[in-house]
Amino acid sequence: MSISRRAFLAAVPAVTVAGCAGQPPLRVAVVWSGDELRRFLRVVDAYVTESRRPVSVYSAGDNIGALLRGPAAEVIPDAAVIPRLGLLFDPLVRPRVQPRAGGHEQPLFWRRLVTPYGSEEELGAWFKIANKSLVWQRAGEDHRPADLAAWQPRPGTLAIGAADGWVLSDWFENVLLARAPEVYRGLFPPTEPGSSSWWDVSQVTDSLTLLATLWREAFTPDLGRRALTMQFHDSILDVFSYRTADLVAAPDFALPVIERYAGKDVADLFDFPAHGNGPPPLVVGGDVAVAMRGGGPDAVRFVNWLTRPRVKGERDALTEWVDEGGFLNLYRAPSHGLLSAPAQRLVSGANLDYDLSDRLIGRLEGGDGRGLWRVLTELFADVTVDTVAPAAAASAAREKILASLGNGGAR
Amino acid sequence: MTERNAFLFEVAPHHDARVPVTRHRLSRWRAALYLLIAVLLSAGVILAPFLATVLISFSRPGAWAGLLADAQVWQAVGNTLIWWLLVVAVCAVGLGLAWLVRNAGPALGRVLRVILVLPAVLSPLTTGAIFRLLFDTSKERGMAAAVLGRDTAFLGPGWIWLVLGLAFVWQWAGIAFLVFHEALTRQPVGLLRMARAFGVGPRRRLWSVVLPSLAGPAALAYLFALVAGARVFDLVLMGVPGSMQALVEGGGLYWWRHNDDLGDAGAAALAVLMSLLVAVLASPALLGLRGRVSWPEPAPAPRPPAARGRRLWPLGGAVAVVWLLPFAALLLTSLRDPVAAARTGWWNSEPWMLGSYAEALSDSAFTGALGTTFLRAFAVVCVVLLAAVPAAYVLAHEHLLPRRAWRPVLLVSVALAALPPQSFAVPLQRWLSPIGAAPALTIVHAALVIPLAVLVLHTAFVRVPAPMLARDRWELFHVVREARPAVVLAGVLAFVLVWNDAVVGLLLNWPAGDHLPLILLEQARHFMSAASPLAAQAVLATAVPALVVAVTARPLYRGLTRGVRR
Repeated sequence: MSISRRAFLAAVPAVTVAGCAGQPPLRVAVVWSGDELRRFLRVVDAYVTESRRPVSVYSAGDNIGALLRGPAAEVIPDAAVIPRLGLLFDPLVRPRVQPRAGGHEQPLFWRRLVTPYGSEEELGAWFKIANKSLVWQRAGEDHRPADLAAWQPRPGTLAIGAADGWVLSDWFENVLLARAPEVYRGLFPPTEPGSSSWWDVSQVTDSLTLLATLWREAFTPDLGRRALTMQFHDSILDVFSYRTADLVAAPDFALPVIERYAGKDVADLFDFPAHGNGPPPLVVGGDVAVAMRGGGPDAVRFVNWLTRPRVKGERDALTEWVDEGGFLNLYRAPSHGLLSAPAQRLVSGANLDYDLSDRLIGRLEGGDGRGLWRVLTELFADVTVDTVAPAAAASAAREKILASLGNGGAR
Repeated sequence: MTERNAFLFEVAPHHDARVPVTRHRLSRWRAALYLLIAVLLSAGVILAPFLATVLISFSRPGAWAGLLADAQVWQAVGNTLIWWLLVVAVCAVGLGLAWLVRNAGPALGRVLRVILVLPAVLSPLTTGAIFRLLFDTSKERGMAAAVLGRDTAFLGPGWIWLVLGLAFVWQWAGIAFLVFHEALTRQPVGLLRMARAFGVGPRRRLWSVVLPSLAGPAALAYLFALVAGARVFDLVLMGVPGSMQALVEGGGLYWWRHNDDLGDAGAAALAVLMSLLVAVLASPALLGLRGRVSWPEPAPAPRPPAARGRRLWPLGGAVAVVWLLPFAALLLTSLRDPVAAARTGWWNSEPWMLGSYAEALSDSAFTGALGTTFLRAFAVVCVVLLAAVPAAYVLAHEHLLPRRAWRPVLLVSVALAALPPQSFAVPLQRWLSPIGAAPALTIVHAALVIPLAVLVLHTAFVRVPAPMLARDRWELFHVVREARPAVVLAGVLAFVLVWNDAVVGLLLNWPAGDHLPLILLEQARHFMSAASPLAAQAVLATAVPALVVAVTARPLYRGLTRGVRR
C-alpha cells in the first residue's frame, strides 16, 4: 500500500490549496469539450485577471440539463452557458435563473428568444450564435443544387454525421423551414405561445417525405449503415480529408474543424437550398449565458462581461476566436472571408428562425436515443438501411412525433 | 498456486473441530453495535429507498399498465435479455479458456491469470473507448476495418452487438477464468478414478461428478458477470455512437434517459421491473449455490507431462496477445499526435509524442478530478472497512448466524450488490441532497460495496482461529491482523469500484465535473477527433487502479484464495 499512501499524501495539499484560495471560485458550467473548451477557458482567463475573482469552468456536456434541473441545489453552478434554449423555459430551471440586469442591449430578435411570453425580463444574453443553414464543399468544385425539390444527390456524394442526432435534426429543420415556413413559425411564433397542433398538419409529413427521399437518394444501405456510425467531425473528414463525399451540410463552426484536419483554403460553402420560389432557409442556433440565482450579483457581472461588445481595435481571446472561425457573436464580424456573409445575416435579424429542436422540452427534447433525435435517426435508418419507402417512413415518423406529444410533449 | 487454496466466496459454514471452549461472548448490545454501521448503511441507503421506489410505482394507478404498453420499454427490456446472453458468453469463454489451459502448469497459469484479469481493473468507459477505436468504420482508423481492407460499419446496426459482445467478454471473462481455473484444479480426482474403475461411462462421469463440482464456481462466475451486465451503462455511453444507443441500451440506460418522461410512478415501475428481472436471472445461480459449494482440496498436483504443458504455450501465447492487443491500441493511440490520430490508426508510423499527456495534465478539470476521485475512493475505502470489519467479525466469531441462517444472509448480500442503482436512486437523491453532494456520494458508494466487503471479510475471519482460553479485548485487532489479505482485498475492491464508477454519479445527477470517468465521458462528444487526448486520459485514469492492484498483488491473491496471512 505504500504507493497509494504516497499518492494520497500528494493529493491532499492540492485539494486544500483549492479550498483556501480566499474567495470561492465562480462556478461556470458549459457544454464544450476539447478545443472549444480550451478557447473558452482562454476567454475566461482575462476575466480572472481583470476582476481577481477565480472562476472554475467545468464541462457538463449533454448532462447540463440534468445538472440544472437536479435536486441538489449546492451543485447548481453560479452561471452557465446553455446551448439548448428550451432549457431556459423548463419549469424546473426557469425559477433558478436570475433575470438579466444591466449589460449591453442585444438585437430584438435575439432578446425576444430569451424573454418568456408575457414578460419583460430577459433570462440571459447570447454569447455565441451559429448559422446552421450552410452546405460545405471543397474549394474549386461546384455541387450546388438548384433547388431543394430538385436535389437528387448521387449515392456517395453527401456526407452526414448521422451518429449525432443534432445533425439530423438540423437537416429536418432546414427542410421544414424551406418547405413549410408557416408550420415552423407556428410551432414557436416570436411573440405568443406556440401551438403543438402544428405538428399535426400535412406539411409536416410532406417535409419529412422530402427529407427521407433526399436521404434515400444519397445513401445505399451500406452507406447508410456507415453514416450511422459517423459523427459530425467524421463527416467533415469524409469530404475534406478522405474525399469520399462531395458535400456536407454543417454549421459555421465546421470551419476550424476543416482547417485543423485538411488545411487552410480548401473549403467553400453555399446556403442551404431554397424550396421552389421561397427564400432559402436560415436556421440559427446559439449559446446563452445565464446567471443562476445562487450566483448573486457576481454571476450577473460575469454574464455581462462575457457578452459585452468589444470596442473597435480591441483584441483578446474572444476576438481571436472569432477571427479564426468557428465562433460567431453578435458584435464582431469574423475576418475569415468565407464566414463574413453568413455572419452578417445573423446580426441583421431578418428572416431568422431559431433551431426548433433546441427549443423542445418534454418527450420530444433531443438527446442520444430520445425525443426528436431518435425519431429522425429511425427515419434515416428506415429509408437508407432498411430501404423503406420514403412516404411510409415519413408518416411513421410523424406518428411517433404525435405519440410523444400525446404523452405530454407539448409542455 | 498454494496447496490449500479455498476460494474467496466459499459458502460452506466453517467446521470448528477444536475442543469447545467456554468463552464469554460480546454482550448482545455490543454485538449489535458492531453491526450497526453496516446495517444502517445497507438498509438506509439501499433497502429503504428501494421500498420507497416500490411504493411510488403503485402511487399512480395505470403506471404499470402504461409502462407495459410502451414498445420502447419492451425494446429496452429485450436488450437487457441480449446482454444476459453476453453474460452467459462471459462464463462460457472463462470456462473454455480454463479448460484449455487446465494442464498448462503453474507458470502459464500465472501469466494468463494476470493478463486475463487485467481488463477487469479498467472502467467500462475505457473499455468502450478502446473497442470503439478498434472497430471504427473507416479503414484508415479502425483496425478491424483495416484488416478487412474496406470501410465496414462495425458500430452500425447488427454488427454493433458483436463489438459490444467482444468488449464485454474481454473485460469480464478473466474473472470467470479465475474462478473456473481454480475449480478445475480441485476436481475430485479420486472420485473420478473410482468411477472409472467401476466402469461408469464418460458421459455419466461428466454429469454426476464433474458438473456438480463445477456448479458452485459457475454460479459465482455467473453472478459476477450478471451484476456487470445488469449495470451496463457507461460501456454503451462511450462505446456506441449516439444513433445506435437506443438499439442496444438495456433497461438501466433507458431509465436514465427517460425517467422524466415516464413520470415518477412510471420510472419507479421500470426500476422495480428491472430489479425483478435481475432477480429472476440471478435465480439459476442460487440453484448452483444450493448444492455442495465448498471445494475439496486440490489434488496433489499430478504434474502434467512436460511435453503437454509445452504444447499449450502457443495457445496461451495467442490468448495473451489477443487480450493485450486492446491495451496496446489504447497506449499507442495516446502517444500519437492528436490531429494524426483523428485521421489515421495507430499502425501508421508517425513520430510518437507525449503531447496528449501534456495536454491532459495541464487541464485543470482533469487533474482536479484525479485528486477528487482519489480522495473520494479513499474515503469510501475507510467507510467500508469501518463498517464491514466489525460486522464481519461479529458474524464470524460470535456465532450470531446459525448455519441455516447463512444462506439467507448470503442471498440478501448478493441481492443488495446486484440491485440496479436506478431502483433506489430517486428517493435517495431527495433524502440525501440536504447533506451535500460530496458526502452523499461517498455514503452511497460505501453502501453499495459494504455487502460485498462483509462477504469477503467474513470468509476470511472464520479461518482465523480464536484464542483457546481467554478472550482478549483486542481480539478484533488480532483477527484483522491475521486476515490482512482479505482486508486488503475488500479495500482494493472498494477503491476500484468507486474509481471506475460512472453510473452512480450520473444517476444521482451529482456534479459531473469532479468524478474522473465523467470527465472522460465528455470526450465522446467528438469521439474520433478526440481519440488521442481521450486515450491519454484513459491511460492515466487506468494507471491509478492498476498501480494499486500491482502494489497489493500478493496480499490480493492471498485474500482471494485464502483470506488469511498464513
